[in-house]
Amino acid sequence: MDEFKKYISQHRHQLDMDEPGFHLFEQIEKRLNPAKPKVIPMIFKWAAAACIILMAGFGMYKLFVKQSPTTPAIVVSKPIHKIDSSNNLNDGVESQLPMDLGEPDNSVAQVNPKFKPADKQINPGKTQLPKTSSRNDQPVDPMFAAFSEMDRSYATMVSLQIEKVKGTPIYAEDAGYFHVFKKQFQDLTNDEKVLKEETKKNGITDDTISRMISIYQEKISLLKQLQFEINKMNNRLTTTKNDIRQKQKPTYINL
Amino acid sequence: MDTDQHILIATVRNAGNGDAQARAKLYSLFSKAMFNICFRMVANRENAEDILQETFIIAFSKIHQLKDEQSFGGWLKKIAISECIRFNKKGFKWTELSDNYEETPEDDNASWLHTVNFEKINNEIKQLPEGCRQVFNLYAVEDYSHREIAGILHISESTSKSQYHRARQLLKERILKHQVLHG
Repeated sequence: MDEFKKYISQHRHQLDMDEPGFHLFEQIEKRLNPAKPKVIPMIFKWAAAACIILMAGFGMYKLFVKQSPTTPAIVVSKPIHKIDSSNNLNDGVESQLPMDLGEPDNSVAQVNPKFKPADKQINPGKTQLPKTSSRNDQPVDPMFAAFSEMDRSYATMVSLQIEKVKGTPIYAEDAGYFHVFKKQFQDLTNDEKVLKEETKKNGITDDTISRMISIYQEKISLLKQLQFEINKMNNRLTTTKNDIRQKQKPTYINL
Repeated sequence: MDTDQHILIATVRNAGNGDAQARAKLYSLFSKAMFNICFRMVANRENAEDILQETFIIAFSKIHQLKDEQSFGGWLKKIAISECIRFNKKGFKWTELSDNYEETPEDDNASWLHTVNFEKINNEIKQLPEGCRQVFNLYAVEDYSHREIAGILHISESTSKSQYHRARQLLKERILKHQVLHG
């Protein structure tokens, strides 16, 4: 062994004067033990998914399911109507009893106390609909309903006949010539008023209905007879005195 | 067997079982020596650190294959040298030296080295050309034979000897020149 090699070999540890960086071991460990991804237990994943599904379902339920009306509808008591005596009957059950038929009358009738108007539950802004099964509705008397229907029908017929008579010009005589008819019609109207008031006080009976029907029939018959007389007189004047018809102004009867 | 050897054996076994503290212990025991080998072989600090990392990663990965725990140091050095040679093989070609340096002059007692500090010697070794630096480190520092060096570097023994003599001559010239210039 040469001296050079021998000298170097004997003092080789003195040649080790350099040191590595401090970070090297950390890098070595990182490469030996790479960071493992966090493993979330499957049960937690399922629990999270279940929570999300429940929350989504609850949100959708709240959003789309129509809420049942929890607030009670506004209760409005139907006001008591003033009743037209001649041809009208009015009460709280308006939807079932047609009103305002026939000749208007100034007298004020009262509601039949035996038939209380049903308090209807109405929503503001909405059309009031008749309720047949509401717990606040009192049962409607079928006789009263029939009486009202009859009254309406006859009142309509009377009104039509009245209008027809009113619109017929009278040439032969003046309107006063037919005052008899007018008085008879007025008497029948008075009878009608009395009968209606009697009905409100005592209720509707078969006799009441029969009498009311008779009154209406007599009215209609009277009006037809009046129409006939007017037409007959006008026709007689037409055949005999044409020039008078042309010169004389027609009159109209007012009932 | 002394205590240190027992400790070494236990540490190597624990490191083989994946004990991070045992690995840290082995690193603290051998990292400086291995780093200096690598630094002298490749003559570059960054490259030496990279090779050191690879050396310990390979060692810790295969430590369970080591049967004799006491020979961990020597086994680790072989790994480090192998990694250095593998690194130096990239872009390097051995050239046969034309000069005949097979024989060492008998009268060279290397007395001139005794006045030189080891830091200077260490630096000059790193300045040697790549081929003769490897041979010099393996032969003069790590005490490999030329036959072993020839086997490791895949060169002939004569090439190994020639490279060593060249390295020795260059070291002497440069160190003496430095002493003349700087005293």
